[in-house]
Amino acid sequence: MIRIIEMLLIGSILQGCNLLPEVKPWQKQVLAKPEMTFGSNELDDGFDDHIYFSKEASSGGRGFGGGGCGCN
Amino acid sequence: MQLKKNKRWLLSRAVGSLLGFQSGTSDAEWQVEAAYRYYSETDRVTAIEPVLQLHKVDDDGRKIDFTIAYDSLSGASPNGAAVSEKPQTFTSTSGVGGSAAAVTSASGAAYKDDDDDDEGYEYEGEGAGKTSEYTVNPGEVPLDPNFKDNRLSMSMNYSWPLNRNVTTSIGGSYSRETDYRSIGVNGGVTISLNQKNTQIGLFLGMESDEITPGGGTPQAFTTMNDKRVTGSTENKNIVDGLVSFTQALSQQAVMQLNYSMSISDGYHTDPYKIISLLDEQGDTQDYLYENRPEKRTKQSIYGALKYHLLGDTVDVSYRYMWDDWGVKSDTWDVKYRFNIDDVYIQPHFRHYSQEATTFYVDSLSSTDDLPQFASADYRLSALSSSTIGVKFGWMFDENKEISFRVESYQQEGDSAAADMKAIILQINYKVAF
Repeated sequence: MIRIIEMLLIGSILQGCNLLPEVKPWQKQVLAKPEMTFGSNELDDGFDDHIYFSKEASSGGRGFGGGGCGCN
Repeated sequence: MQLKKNKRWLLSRAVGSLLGFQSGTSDAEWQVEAAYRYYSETDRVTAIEPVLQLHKVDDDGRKIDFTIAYDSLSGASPNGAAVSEKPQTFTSTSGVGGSAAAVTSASGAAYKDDDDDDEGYEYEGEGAGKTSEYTVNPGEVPLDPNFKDNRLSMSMNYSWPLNRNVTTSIGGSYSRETDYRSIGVNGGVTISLNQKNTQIGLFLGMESDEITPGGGTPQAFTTMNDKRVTGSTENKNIVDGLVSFTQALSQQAVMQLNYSMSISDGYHTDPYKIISLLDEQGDTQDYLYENRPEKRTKQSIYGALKYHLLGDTVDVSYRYMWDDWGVKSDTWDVKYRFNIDDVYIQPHFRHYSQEATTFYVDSLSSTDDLPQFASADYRLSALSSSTIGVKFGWMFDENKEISFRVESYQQEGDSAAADMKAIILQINYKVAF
């Protein structure tokens, strides 16, 4: 029973039954801008992630994190 | 070592490029971006890094990226020893085969090259570096002025649409430096739902690292002056997993929520870090090599929001990370991009704070039993850091952009070594054709 409810809930979400906002394709001019896209500033983000990984005990979040060197 | 390049950001890049509502580039097929970075800590490490990135997308939506970077790092790095009221003399082995004799570090520590590789070692492997001796003045944070390294790294990522709503990707990375080699592969799938207003991404990465400490791997808690080594090469394997949920909230807003886990198994100890061993009077009796656990599992939850406000762009993110070493950290990051015709100005502020690992110590006492694990690396202590900066960008042609970035990075914490300031400078040039 619980599984059926879960499936119905997930199905509802995936169908977008007003549980999630719906923006029409022709309304996405702003969302299509590079600065509104996650991962569009990769070189800067990567450089920052590297510095902070080298100087702090944390990593990851927006992508994979940690490893790659013996500094932490 | 204090500052070494790693390839994780290129993996994060592979993740990021799949999570958006468009390609992030113009209609052009090729995009080339070159960057030159300069990072310099006051009295400590300086790094310079040229980077070149090629990006191609075809009519079928297939994308390929290739990135190559070369880093040069040098300067002084905290060795882990505690500040003392008396002069302290240290022996170190660098990852690079020594440098010019008799230099003076920025902190005033005298350093002379020993040039004798063999003396004092029971084992001499591939990682043998040159020994050196340096003295640190009373009251100063002990810095090893002998830090110097270069690193070459390359990565590639390829993604292609399986159908209208599913995109897959694979990638690989390789990096090499004097005492470190890393090879990684990754793959992922992104599913678009709800008229592409929702994206769910699943990513997996694996990495194999090989560490070759200069002078061999120090045996845990052996003394600096009677260093015993256990071998020449160590290994570390890492498995990363990430689940990402991206949602368009309105015509002007989009958010992302990520959960990630990273399991690392192998050699985590910093082979160049030592710990002060104090006697009953609190005087330094000796210096011991540190020891860290062989396993570490990190987890994080990351949330980000981008909002288009009156023609400008607000970018806010928060990360909560925790691991089984006792670290808990909070990270806030805010960028506000003023868009003024073909120019943009983007102030940036970041604040980070962390709790210490359970095995972090400032020093050890000769009257106590040795713990199983201990490290005096300040980066594992309780600390906070702040970044403040600004970026200027100019899109002087339909497909060309140049940008400059200047930032100040400042750390403070329980350890005296945590007090550090750095400046970051960067220039980027991007062209699409």
